[in-house]
Amino acid sequence: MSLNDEYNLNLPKQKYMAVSASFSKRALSLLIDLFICYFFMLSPLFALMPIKDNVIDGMNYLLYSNNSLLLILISASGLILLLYFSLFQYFLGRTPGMQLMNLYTLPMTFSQAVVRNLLFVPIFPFSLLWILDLIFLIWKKRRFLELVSNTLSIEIMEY
Amino acid sequence: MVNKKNTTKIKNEEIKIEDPNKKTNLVNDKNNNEEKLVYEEKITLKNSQEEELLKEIEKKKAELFIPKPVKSGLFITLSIIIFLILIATLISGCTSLIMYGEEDYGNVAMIPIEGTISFSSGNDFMSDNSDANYIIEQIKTANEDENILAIILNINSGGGSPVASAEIAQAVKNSKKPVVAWIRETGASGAYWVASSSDYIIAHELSITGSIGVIGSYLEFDDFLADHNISYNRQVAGQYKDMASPLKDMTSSEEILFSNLLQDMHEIFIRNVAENRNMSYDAVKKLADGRIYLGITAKENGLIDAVGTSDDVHKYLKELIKEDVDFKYYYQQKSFLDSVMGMNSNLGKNIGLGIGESLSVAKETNVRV
Repeated sequence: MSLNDEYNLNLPKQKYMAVSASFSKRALSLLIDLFICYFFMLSPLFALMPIKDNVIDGMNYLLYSNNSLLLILISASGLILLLYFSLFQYFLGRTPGMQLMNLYTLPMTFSQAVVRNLLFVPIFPFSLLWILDLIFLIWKKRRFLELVSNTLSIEIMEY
Repeated sequence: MVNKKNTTKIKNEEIKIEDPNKKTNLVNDKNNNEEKLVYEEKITLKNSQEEELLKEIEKKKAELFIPKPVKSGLFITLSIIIFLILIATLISGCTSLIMYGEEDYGNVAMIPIEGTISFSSGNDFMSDNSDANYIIEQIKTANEDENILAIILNINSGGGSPVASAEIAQAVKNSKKPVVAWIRETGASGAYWVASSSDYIIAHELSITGSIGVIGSYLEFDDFLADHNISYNRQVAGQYKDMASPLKDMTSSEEILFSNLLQDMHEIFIRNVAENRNMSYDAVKKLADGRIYLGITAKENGLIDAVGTSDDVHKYLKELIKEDVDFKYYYQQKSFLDSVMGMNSNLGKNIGLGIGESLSVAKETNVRV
């Protein structure tokens, strides 16, 4: 019998603590989300690939023979990834990957959601945000774009 | 706020009630009792009206001032996913219309023969098999297409199944439209068989061609079984039924039989190449010891018609069709689901390849050109 039951103290049964989301959980949730995007959202774009049975030949064809198609594929993938992360985080506060990893984001506006996911924009300066985010995540336990957008990813820990 | 206003309105304007107990000019008790009854009725009426009004106000509050409750997470998740799939489909459709719309009017059919030639395309993304069925189908389609004036086989293969190669070669010979074989890096063995059946062969001078021979192989691990006290209990009807079984040593008569089989295939291969290239049987036989030739040596030996690069291929085709060359690409199309399913099935196959299939006698004897 616990102390709470024995003396009827009416103490809280569980205590929760919100902490900044861990690196491993963030990475896993990102992988899950990318997997979902690859198999569901981006699948219609694969129909554009002229060679579907061999990824290497397909990429060679795109790189050396059809640059405009490559540009369209990269731009469309970037747009869909940006929308996926922004819409889920704005409407539900977390993406399906974050749900599985039990991560949350604090309530935010749609513009904040877009800013915190700008790293998916497939244009040169934005691509650098991946590296910058990673450095900030290791250094300050918070992504660079989270600082810029004034948002936060948290995980709820029971103690 | 609305609630308060409306309630005040009821109290002050709509229902005016005077309390008989507060009256000072009462005449008698009888009159007083009647007034009390009327008062109670009015109070009841007032209460019921107030309740109804309050309910209505609560309802309006819910509609106007309280934000609609958020739908379930599943609903939003599905909505977002469907929305994004629709966007991707829209982009894909528009791009396809813009980019591939023009390709349908190409005048030279480009059919690739890459990787191992077989009757299976291999389902996964990384597979490099060329499905003979598909290639034959594409050659027929190109022949039926009025816009197509010539067919070019883009060959980069080291051969494969003898039957698959022979069937593609036959389809090439049956083609009513001129067929040009373009050997890029490798066009050896079965792939050369296919190339030889075309009307003209162009290869890079450093490409690998030839390899006119047949290779047969089988696994044998009877010693391994003996080491582990596992014996092969031979039960056959027909002396050579378990020829090339990995579970036993091949007998000398079986070895001769197996060798003859390969020799027969080799003969057919040589005869076909000789016929296709308009060369004598003996001339091809001299070259057909299984060795590979560089493009330049193959040209000297008459195995190909010209050495050249992609520009030379373009020039030759332009002369052949007497108009500007516009390729129509025929690629092995495979659905996304096939590829995903193929990945799973091939994973299982690869894991079990060394275990399960090596025990199968029929599948292990591998003959290829």
